[in-house]
Amino acid sequence: MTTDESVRIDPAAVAALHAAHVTELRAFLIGVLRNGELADEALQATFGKVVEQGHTANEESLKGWLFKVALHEALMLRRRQTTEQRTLTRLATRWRLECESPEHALNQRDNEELVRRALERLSPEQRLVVHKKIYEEKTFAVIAGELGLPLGTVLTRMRTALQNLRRDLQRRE
Amino acid sequence: MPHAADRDVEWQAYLYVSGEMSPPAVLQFEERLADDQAAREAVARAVELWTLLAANPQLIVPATVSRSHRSAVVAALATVAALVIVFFSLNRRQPPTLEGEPASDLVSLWAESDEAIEDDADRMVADVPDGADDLTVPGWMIAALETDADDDTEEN
Repeated sequence: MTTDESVRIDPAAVAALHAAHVTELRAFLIGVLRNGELADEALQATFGKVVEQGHTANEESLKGWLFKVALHEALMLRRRQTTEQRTLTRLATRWRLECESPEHALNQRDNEELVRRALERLSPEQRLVVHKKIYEEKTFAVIAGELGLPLGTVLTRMRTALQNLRRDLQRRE
Repeated sequence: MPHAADRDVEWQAYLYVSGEMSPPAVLQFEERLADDQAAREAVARAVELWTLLAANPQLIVPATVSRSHRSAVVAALATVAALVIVFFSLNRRQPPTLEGEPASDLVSLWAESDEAIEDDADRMVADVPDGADDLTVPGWMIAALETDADDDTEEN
């Protein structure tokens, strides 16, 4: 099988696409695979597909096409591998360490302040559920048992907390 | 204000990435991901939000701290209540005053009550020592009269 070099997507366009979407795409792949190494592998395969077939994608829906290819690659990888899925907190911590740089450290300080303010706006009840879910890595069923609350109450607190956090943290962009 | 469906996809994405979905729900959500770019972006946002929070573990104050904060507030309120009680009990020992009453009225009241006491005492005690008839005016009453007199002067 031969590939016609003339119809391949321009390398500069691939680079621009990578710069524009790599962070979001990697987050998406981590969400699907819950494994950093597999996410990186799927990311690499996705951009390989961009180089080969990116010219076939509609310019307006290029981002959607990119995510669709990424999902396809991720699901294929997951079928082939039996690697353990990790908790999101451990992945997130590892991801942060991998991204460390002076510029990132500056952003990190800004983010800390924003996150602090957003967390302070949560009710103590919501903050407690967020703490147990994120840092103690407990399931909602366990949290409900520990707090002596119905599961629905714990889910509602977490959902409301996430909505509030998302709303407050989106303002940083 | 986000649409209810948007909020739902954000929550579904969160449940998906946090491993809280049942296997059938995971399959159903992944079918949705195949066709729904909004759901795919919601998954990315859920991971990004989680990353931001997980990167700042010191910022989430566990409830135990809140509980100790509550205890400190209760202790502070108890102290204030105790101080208020002490304040009022000390105030009771001071000479009573009738708010709004002029000092001269107070003097009349005091003199009348003193005369009544004296009448009773005359009936009860046969030998009365010399000088006991003299009315001893308390210092606080003199001070009140002086204040009253000053007020009258200023008004005139």
